[in-house]
This record gives sequence, structure tokens and C-alpha cells, in this order.
Amino acid sequence: MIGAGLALNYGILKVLQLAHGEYITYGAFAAVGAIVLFPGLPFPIVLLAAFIACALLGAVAQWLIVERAMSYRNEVVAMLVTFGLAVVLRDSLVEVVGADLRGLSVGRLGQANFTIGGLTLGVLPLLSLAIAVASFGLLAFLTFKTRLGRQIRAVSDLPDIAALVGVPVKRIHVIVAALSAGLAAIAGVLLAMRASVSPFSGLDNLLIAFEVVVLGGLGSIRGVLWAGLLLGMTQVVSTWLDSNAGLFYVHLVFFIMLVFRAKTGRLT
Amino acid sequence: MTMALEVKDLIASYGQFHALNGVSMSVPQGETMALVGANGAGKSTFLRILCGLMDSWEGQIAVGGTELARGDPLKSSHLGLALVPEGRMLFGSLTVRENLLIGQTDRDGPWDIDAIERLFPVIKERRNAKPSELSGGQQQMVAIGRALAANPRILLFDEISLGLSPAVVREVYSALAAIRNEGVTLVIVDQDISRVCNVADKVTCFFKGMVTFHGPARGVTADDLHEAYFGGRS
Repeated sequence: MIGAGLALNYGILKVLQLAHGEYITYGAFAAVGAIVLFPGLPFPIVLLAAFIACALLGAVAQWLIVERAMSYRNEVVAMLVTFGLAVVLRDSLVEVVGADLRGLSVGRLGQANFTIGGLTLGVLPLLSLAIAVASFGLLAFLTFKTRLGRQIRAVSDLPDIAALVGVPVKRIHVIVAALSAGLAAIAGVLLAMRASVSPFSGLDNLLIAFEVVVLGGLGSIRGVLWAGLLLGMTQVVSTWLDSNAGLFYVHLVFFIMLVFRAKTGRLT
Repeated sequence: MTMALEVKDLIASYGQFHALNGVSMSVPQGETMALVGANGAGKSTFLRILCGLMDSWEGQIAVGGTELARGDPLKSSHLGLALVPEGRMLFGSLTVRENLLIGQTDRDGPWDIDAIERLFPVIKERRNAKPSELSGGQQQMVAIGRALAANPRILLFDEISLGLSPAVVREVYSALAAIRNEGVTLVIVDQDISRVCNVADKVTCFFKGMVTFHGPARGVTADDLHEAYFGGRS
């Protein structure tokens, strides 16, 4: 889930969005803020509010800043601009909410579980999985079954030719940036339900997102799904075996996969 | 006579290199113009400018009486320009049918999907295939179909027969007659000069970015074109 937005952004816009980690953090804080302002707000509304808030932020950033950087047709220029955007977003958040850790209180849901065939499953991880699968499903429907999706794929393939056949390329860029930031927001909300998030969490999240995207293939949503599942399962199993492991085994698996690919010549 | 395309004193450059040097020409609505010249003569640059894919140019270009915007492919499309690019340039992640659907615009005209599939029946047979699964000839037909789906005022072909078998080239050229009968203005770049001149009303020859011949195709001789092709006449 963390990598999906980054993959979408790079796949269509060909821009490595270094502010993606900040969008994840903003998603988490948008949900926390919504709960603080409106206690008792139903969870789907919280999720939707975080999605919309970050999608708007992503759209405005793309429209006002990143699109101009893209006009230089140099990936490094656009990447540096997104780095600057990440710094501005992070420091703005610190200025507004402070540097404290925050999390979404999920009450008894955090400990709720059930047993099937001797296997105990937590409700919260399953809920996260269901939301992630539903998000991927909606994204796949949008991409492969709608006119907008057709235009998005055309822009990804050949932006100049897409413009020539009447596709509003800049508008598509803004929509994709909004979707990408919105997906990051959903990942941020799911993260805040399971762990505390601070305004400085963006870089950690970006690192995981990069690992997922590099493993899955830059621009491949399907690949990102599999890579996300692999690294997610690694984290679950490693935490079960060694509760102090943190993300060590996730990074180790990523490293092993990279070495394996280098040895077999499958780097892309 | 209504002019589909009017070009006056067009100069274009890539950095220090002048690709076009004072090109002027006009093409009446519904006519076909053959654009010939050696490699590097400026033909593709000319088409790229018309399509809005290049913005470093000076001069005046009017499409149907409306001035062409500089470097804006979307506006070129709205003016009714469509391109069948060299190398086809189909959208690889879209199916054949999706490639046609994405070409559709708000412009009214005779070219809906059914009409395009009647013109090229193979498109209907391979509608769910990806472009990479098609032969070069089939890809060219899809590229023409995609451009037609926009119901263009002017249809531009860059190297229409490049890499195609003689049988496919005959099929593509016979389709041009049907397209032209619907009133579409055609500008065709092709290295097969005699073939393209046979279907054209006008011939324009470029040499080193300049027009060395611009006149009716009827009556043009091989010697005329030979001289113009190598820059002998202006």
C-alpha cells in the first residue's frame, strides 16, 4: 500500500516523488486531526477525509510546482523539486502540530482476534489487508476499465502522442498525482492505526516505499502488490520470531532480492 | 478556395542548426499534398511543428484560417490536425480497440469506430490484441484508424510506407482514396516518390529546409523532381 502511490506516480509521470513519505505522514495526521475535531466520526469517513485532503494537496503541488519542474524534461530537476517539497511539507507539519508522536486510537479493535484451525488472526491486520485489496481493486478498475484509465495509460506510454490525440496530459498528471497522494494517505491512516507516527516518519516510510517499488518494478502496480506482500509478510514473520527485529529483516530480504537479481541479470 | 493549411516564412531551428529556412506553402481543403525530400530536408520537422511537438519556430501557420499555437499538441488536435507518425507510435499498453477509442474527439464527422473497421477489417478481427502482437502493416492500419477517429480536418502521414511490404503499401494507399473522398486534407511524406505523386494533387519538395518545388502533381516530371530533390531549382 505504501509503495502503490509511488509506483503510480513514477509509472505515469516518470517523476520520483520524494514527498511521498510526507503524504503518508499527512494522511495519518489528517485522520488524527479529524478524530480530534469530530470525535466519534465513523472510520470510513475518516479514511475518505484523509484521502481527499492528501489528494487535494498532491494535486495542488503537482499543478503549481512539479509540473513546472517536469517541463525541463530532466528527471533530476523534478526529483530535486520533490525533495524540496518534502522538506517544506515536513517542517510545516512540525510547525503546526509539533514533533510529538501521534496515533489513531482503535480501542479494543487493536487486540481483537479470532482463531481458525488453530491459527490466531488479528482483526486489525485483516481490516488493513481488506482496505489495501479494495484500494488496489478500485485502482485496477479505474486504470483498465474506464476512459480516464485509458488516458492515463496512454500518457504513460507516449505523452506527446497522447496530447496529439487530444488527451489533456497536464490534467492527467494532476489526477495521477492526486490519486498517488490519496493512496499514500490511506497507507498513512492504516499505519497510524497500528503504530505511532511523527512528522519525521516520512523518510522511514519513503524508504519502505522505495524498497517495495524497486522490488516490484518501477511503474508496475501489479509488481508492487507482490513486492508489498513479500515485504509485509517478512515483517510479520520476523516480528513473530524476534520482537526486537524492527525492519531489519525487511531490509535484509530486499538486499537479498537485489543481489539475486544482479546475479541473474534481472535488475529491472 | 478555402485553404486547409497556409504556411508563410516558416523558420525552425534545433539550437544553431536551421532545420527550416523560410518555408511558405498552401494546401486547399480536401486536397492531397505529397511532401518529398531527402533525409534531413526538414519534412519531419515540418510535421512536428504542425502537430505542436516543437516550439522553436518563427513565421505564420494557419489551419482552416485559425493561427496555429506554438508547441501545443492539444491545440493542434483541437484545430483538426492528426498525425500518423513514423514508426506508428501506438500505445503499447492499450488494445487495438482502445487505441481507436482514445483517438476519438468531440469533432463531428464520418469516422466512427464502425467506419474505421469497415475501412480496415483486420482492425475488427484483432480488436482485443495489443499492438506488439500485430504485424507492421496491421500496426500502420491501427495508427491510421486512431488518427481518423478524431475526424481530422488535416491528416498528416510521416513516412507512410516505411518498413511495409509492397502488398500492405498498396492496401494503405487504396484506403487513402476513401479517406480523401470524405473531404479530409492529406499531407503525405513518403520516400516512394512516384507512388505518392500519383495520388497527390500537389507536390512540395524540401531541400535543406527550403522549398525547392511547390506545384500541381499533374504534369510534374521526373526531371523536375530530381532537380528539386537535390536542390537544383527554387
